[in-house]
Amino acid sequence: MSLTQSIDYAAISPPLVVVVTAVAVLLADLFVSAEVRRRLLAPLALAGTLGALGATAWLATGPARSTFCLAGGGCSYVADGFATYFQTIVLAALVVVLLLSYPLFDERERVPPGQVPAAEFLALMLMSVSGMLVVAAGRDLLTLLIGLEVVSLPAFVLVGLRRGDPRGVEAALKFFVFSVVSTALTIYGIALVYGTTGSIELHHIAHALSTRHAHSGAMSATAAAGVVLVLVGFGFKIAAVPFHFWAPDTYQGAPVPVAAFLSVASKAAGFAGLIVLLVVGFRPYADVWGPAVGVLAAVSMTVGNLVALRQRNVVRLLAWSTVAHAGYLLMPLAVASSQLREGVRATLAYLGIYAAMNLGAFGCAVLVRRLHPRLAIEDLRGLVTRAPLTAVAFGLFLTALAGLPPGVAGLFAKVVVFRAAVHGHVTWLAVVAAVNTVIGLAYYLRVAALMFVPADDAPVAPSSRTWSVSAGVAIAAAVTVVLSVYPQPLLHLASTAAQR
Amino acid sequence: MTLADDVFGLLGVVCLAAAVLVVTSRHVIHAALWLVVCFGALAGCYLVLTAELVAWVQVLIYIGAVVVLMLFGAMLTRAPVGAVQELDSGNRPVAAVAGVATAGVLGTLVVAAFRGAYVDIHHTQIGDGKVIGTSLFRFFVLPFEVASVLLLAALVGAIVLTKREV
Repeated sequence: MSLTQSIDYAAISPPLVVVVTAVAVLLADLFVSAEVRRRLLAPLALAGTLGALGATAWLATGPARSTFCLAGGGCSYVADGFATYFQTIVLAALVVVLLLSYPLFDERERVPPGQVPAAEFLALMLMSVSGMLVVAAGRDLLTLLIGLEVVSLPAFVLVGLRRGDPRGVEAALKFFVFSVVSTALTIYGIALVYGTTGSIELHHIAHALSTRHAHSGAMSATAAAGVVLVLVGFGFKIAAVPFHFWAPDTYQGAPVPVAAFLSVASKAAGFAGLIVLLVVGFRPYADVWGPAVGVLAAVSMTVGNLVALRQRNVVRLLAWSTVAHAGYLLMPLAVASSQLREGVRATLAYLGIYAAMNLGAFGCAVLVRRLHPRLAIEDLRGLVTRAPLTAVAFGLFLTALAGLPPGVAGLFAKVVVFRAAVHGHVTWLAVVAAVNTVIGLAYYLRVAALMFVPADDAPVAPSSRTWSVSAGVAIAAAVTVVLSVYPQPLLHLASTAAQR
Repeated sequence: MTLADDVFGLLGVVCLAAAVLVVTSRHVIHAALWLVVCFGALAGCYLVLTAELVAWVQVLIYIGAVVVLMLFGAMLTRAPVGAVQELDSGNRPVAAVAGVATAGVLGTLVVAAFRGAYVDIHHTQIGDGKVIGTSLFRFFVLPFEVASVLLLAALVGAIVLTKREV
């Protein structure tokens, strides 16, 4: 037996390209002048991301590849349809976020509270994404855990990177403390699961849990406690109630593009890890985690929507809306285990649509912030006369998040998760979600309507420096519109990804 | 009960007592020093279980690096050296109840599940550098490599957060 594991570099190419780009950005920062730096670094990061996206697309067309395999069977890293689906979402989200964050390190920017160091911002964001790509493909507890840490650690810094901004420091600290506690709980849960099953590889764990289930009551209770603790840890990452306390403050204190990044890419990575753990590793304990996930889903959407009703700040409103959406995303995972594949498919499809509409909404917040730095909801009144295109795009994303025409994509997403819940015999959850959708209408439509109240302001000419932000919003809008008229490819991809 | 059992139990009691003192002490510096005792006792536990390398890594990293870093941090930020009342939060009773309840549930579960699990330390592989290194590079190459990205991110993040100007 060889002393080292064999490595399939093609399979790990997406995270590899992203990490190499991150290091290249840091090195380029050392060797070029300030003038060149401004024009070079962001395009370099964007090129690396597009390269990784190309590699992921190529992997998605081929058969599943496994690498870093253990001697006893089972692999640490599997680039199958599930992994490439999540990797595509994360990388596409990164493209949009990079476009949104371009003005952050423009030295001519004078929008308070100031700029951020470009090279470190880009490198940290790329490193965080490399962690997400590993989480999507990781198939053992150790890889998943370290991948999640690679997601979180650069994110703390990104949140607090803006100089002289006490709110950013507070946001970063809250995020850090909550995340560290959640990681500690996850590690404790992993230790219990490892102790009772003797393996960190997910298929082995599933096998051990199903055979040892009957053996000893104490053993299976300990394994169940481990499963619940791991679930709690992931609950923090995806900001599900009651583990959501960090989210609104962190999103509001962070630069808006970073909030967009956390609410889409980071949440997607959390869901990738959660689904892999629950559906592959902890499948025999579906009777333990199923109802727990159902309760988390119901509470998340209810609390998220009710608190969102009372918000006066655009980013805080969007933050609470992402908490509510975590609930919708969890809902199909609570179905009976015979219908689990359909449930996973629904969550994946919802996540793809959610990524486009939520990134777009945060992108519009970036655009609005240039006109109204406070980002109060009241500032949006009559936005349509000041910035007609922004108002139309924002309206599209908000109606999509609400699940109404013209943002039909959001409606498709809701239909998919409702159908999965009803087929999976958790009708009570579907009823809760239906009530919540109505509550959601109230605040999404209130904001959307406020923008179209006629006002007699003069239109503000768009600044030439926002072209990249506009491009990011345009991409999100294009994807949302395409998914509204032709969602079949996404649904098809989601069902291929769920076939495992 | 063998000698190893006794030593392990004794170290466990020392570790637990030191840990309680860490959270109840009113002196920041005292808390850090009690943490040294706690980590040291834990390293002793690992040694009794024949996990040689893990024990020394525990000493090097946790006592040698983490606690020293905390002491430096206290020194450089001019943290109060004497007794401080503000270290106690008003939520102390609630936190105590939650902590004791969690410890009770998890402790009971672990004891019930692993009551019969014994490691025969005379017939087990010693966890020295060679064994750990072999298993690291035979089974855990990917987490090992990903951890290097984590360390790079931590390094860059720490520098960029403490640097004064952009």
